[in-house]
Amino acid sequence: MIVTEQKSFEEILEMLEGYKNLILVGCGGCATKCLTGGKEQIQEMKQKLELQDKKIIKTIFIDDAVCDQRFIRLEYLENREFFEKADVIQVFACGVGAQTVSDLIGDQILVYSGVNTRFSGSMERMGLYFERCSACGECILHLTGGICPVSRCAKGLLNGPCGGSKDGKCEITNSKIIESKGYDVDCAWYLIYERLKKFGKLDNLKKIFPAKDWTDDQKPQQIVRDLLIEFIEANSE
Amino acid sequence: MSSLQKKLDEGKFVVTAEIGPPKSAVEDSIIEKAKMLKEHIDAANVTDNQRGVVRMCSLAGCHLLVHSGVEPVMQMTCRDRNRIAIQSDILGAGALDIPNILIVTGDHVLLGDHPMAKSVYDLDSIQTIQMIKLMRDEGVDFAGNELKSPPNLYIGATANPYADPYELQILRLEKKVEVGAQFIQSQAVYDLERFEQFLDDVQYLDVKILAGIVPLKSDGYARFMNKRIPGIRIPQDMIDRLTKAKDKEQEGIQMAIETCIELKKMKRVDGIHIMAIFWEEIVPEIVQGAKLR
Repeated sequence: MIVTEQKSFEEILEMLEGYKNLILVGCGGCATKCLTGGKEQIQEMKQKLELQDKKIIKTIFIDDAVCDQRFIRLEYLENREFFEKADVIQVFACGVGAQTVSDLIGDQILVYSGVNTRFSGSMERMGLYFERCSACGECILHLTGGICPVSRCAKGLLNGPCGGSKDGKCEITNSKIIESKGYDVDCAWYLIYERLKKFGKLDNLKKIFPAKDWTDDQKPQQIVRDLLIEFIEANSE
Repeated sequence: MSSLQKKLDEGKFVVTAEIGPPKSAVEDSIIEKAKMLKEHIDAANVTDNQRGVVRMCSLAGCHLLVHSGVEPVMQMTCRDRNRIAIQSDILGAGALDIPNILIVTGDHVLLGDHPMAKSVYDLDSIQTIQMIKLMRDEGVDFAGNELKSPPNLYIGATANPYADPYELQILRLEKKVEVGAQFIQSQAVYDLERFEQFLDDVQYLDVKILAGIVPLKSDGYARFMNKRIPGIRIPQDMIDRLTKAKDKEQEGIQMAIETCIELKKMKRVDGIHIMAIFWEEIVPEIVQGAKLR
């Protein structure tokens, strides 16, 4: 999932200064699991903003996910009169969600985000999230015991570990910044080594992983599936 | 042409030392350190923003060393440059008659004075060595385009016998040698037993090994190093020895001399690399004390 953190209420108020009529958008996908844009958070935000003299002319909650533009398009078609009255649409979904709204109606109404998007990660339980994927476009999990060095090694090394790994921990564990956050960072290559050893696949590490080809990671990317092209062609005939 | 390579190939025992460039746009400290060390060492490394702390670039530092009559080893990390920038610096090094290069991964930016910086690591150290060898031996850049005049560099790498998992550190060194590393400057050696084990384990590799020395200034400094400097592992008995010592700096120098003497006895050690971090003035004392040259 895409892991988000809600912006501080002060920051949200600051960006909304001078605007009164708001639409709040919540997301039933990742933002619900991250407790940043779920039904409860949207309700809570509505109350807090109303106390600050803002008018919430509508709250929209997309049960599926805001990043699928079909849902937000439907909302827009059904609730056009609210959209026309709004000064700002405040989206409580990841940056993708906010831009899905912005792509649709951003040229008519200001679209703001109420969260900071942090990473693609897994959720062990409510409130505990781990970065797991950098979307590099060239997956090697089958060679590294299901543990991604691109996103879990602090340096993204492919022929790791570096010389800073000590007792299974990454060197950044000893930085004041990580120390102040209060957690340890495992050396990804230590984990990979232990995992491959267990499965008798340490030979995987003997080959030299070549320099990564970042061609498919150059922003902004887009994918057009053949099936879409075929569909469009079939329907235009 | 690298005289460091020539000496090592001839089987001479060599001494290199690390020079930390200043956080300054004025070059005087490098020239001063070069004068101080010139008669005592075979080559000097200039670090590349070590620990992620901004300093004068290694390329400029090495150029100053060339002009001071000290053969430089240009250190280069993978942290701050992508493959385009690294290759460009390597061509620059060639043009400035810098004969040696040492490739390191680079300490993470979170440990330095710009933790807010974006780190690069486009290539890792192994891939970087691979690239430099390609440039030198095949006369092409990493994308296969011809270089008019390829750089002639003696390629070095690091090894850390004290990092984990040990088996992977050996494997990494094997990979480094396989892709083109010709000499190794190791991480600081304190625990001699583990270092000797390491030398045994890499005996089959065709590579020159320079053992690293980081002299300790005090017990507090040793504890700081253990905690904050990546890859350092100082045994407790050495820290205790410093705690008990009256003149801690002198004791630290003495301990470095003793370690050097032991290292020089080891067959597989081809030289010593002294990293007296911003304490370069003690290098002559260590070299003389341990009769390294």
